[in-house]
Amino acid sequence: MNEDVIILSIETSCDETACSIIRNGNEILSNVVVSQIESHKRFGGVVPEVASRHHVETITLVIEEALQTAGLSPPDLSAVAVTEGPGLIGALLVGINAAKAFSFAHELPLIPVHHIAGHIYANQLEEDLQFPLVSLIVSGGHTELIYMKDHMSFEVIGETRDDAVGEAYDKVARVIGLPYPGGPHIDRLSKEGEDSFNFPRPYLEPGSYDFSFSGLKSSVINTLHNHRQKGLEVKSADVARSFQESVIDVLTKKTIQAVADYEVENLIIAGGVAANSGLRAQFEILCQEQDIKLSIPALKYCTDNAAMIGAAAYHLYNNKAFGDLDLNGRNYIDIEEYSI
Amino acid sequence: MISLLIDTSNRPLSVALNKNGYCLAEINTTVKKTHSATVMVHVSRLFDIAGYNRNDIDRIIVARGPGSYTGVRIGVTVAKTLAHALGVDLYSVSSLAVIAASSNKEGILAPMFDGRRGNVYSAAYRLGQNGMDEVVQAGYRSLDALNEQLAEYPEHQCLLDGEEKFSEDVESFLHTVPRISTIEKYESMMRQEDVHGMVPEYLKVSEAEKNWMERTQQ
Repeated sequence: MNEDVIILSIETSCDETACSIIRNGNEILSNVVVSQIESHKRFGGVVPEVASRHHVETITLVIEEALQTAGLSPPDLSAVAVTEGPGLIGALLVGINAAKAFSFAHELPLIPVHHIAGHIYANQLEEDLQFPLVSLIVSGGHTELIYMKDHMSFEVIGETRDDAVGEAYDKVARVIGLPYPGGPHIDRLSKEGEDSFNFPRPYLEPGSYDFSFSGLKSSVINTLHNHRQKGLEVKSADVARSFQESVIDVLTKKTIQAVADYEVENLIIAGGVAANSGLRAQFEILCQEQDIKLSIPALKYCTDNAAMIGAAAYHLYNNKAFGDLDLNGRNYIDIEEYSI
Repeated sequence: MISLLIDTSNRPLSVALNKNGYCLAEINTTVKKTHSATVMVHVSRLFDIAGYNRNDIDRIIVARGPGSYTGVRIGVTVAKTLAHALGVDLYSVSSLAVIAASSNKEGILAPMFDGRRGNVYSAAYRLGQNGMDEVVQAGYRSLDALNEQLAEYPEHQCLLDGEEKFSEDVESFLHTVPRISTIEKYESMMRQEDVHGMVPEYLKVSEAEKNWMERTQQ
């Protein structure tokens, strides 16, 4: 009898059409990601309708390629998993309806997965998660601090009150004149600059683990406008560095504080902004100083992918947390609902 | 030959199982429900009602649009994935042709969907003893432009799909609930599709792309 759990997973919550096959929650048999970024660049950001159109163009291709790369056929599979939300609703619906059709055709259980749970479980693709832990999720759509005392147990202890950190990066990048997506460009440029502007650090009220980057973003934009109006020369690298330093200060201080307050030894960073080299370096220094075990997934598992959805789905499979054919997409889902 | 037929392109939903072109089972709804949540439930139910297994079908026929962008995508995604998973042929039909076939009328039929701001997604078909052909090509156009093209066919009948929003602008019309099982009588309306390559027929570029094209042409 084959006791391996082999899950085919689909992720279409934003601008990547992705399908992956994972054995036992951590062994990647295939991981196919078709990025739409080249298409969205011309608009300066992801356009939901365009994203949905691209998903339907490639969805069966990514499924086929995931199976072929893994050298498997549908009878080898244990289940099909899919991102239920949060995300762009029209984009989610393509993945969800494909997953439901696939599940019906091959008589496989269907596993709905929370996108953020996926980002956290991306770490499981490299090593088992150790609990309790605190996880910081930073991406174009999310900025959250989550406490986990065990597998699939989520407590949101902090979240953004306005812009997600990746969103602030994109907006600041646009003002500096950098292309979309802004994060990697600001990260690169900041290495050539100084923190000369000393932008505010939005810590909010004492004791809060929440974030707010909208004010910082406005401060950067206003400063740039003022300088330009006065005809003063602005060194873009300095703006990038100053902005990034403020973001890193706030993210690291709040996260390290949460790790101390919740008395955990394990910290996970996840999401697309976890690819930021400045942020990674600062976390590495602080965690080494304070003896915290830090896990950050490899770059390709930081950005949206389906392997992470399959990694999280493994635990849902073991708990028989299955969905039905009436599964629908949701643009917002409280991750605490997903606790089992 | 067993066919599975799917139309989720507008507010009505229609799914059917046909045997040699005749309806075995069909589910039609016009209530405002999320097709994303219901379509696979209804498809699964069809097999139960008809007593067939999913592997018994020979082909899938899907309404490719026009219609609600999201609605069309749901039907097309389900059809593509099922065709790929079950290894069967995939065919598409215009959602407008489905309305014409569902009306059970003959002559020149002009189905249309609201395209907002005085525009309609529309076409015209000749239905009769010799089957069905398209006499006004499916397109996105102003109601005035459609009327000009229809002037050539004074005996035409306009068909709406139950949507009342723009009906006051159409002189005389009948409401027709789409019944996807009816389209299989008209093989000429079917287009065989490449499963991977098939895309919905939106008949309209997205707002963002339209604006981008205008910007880049300047």
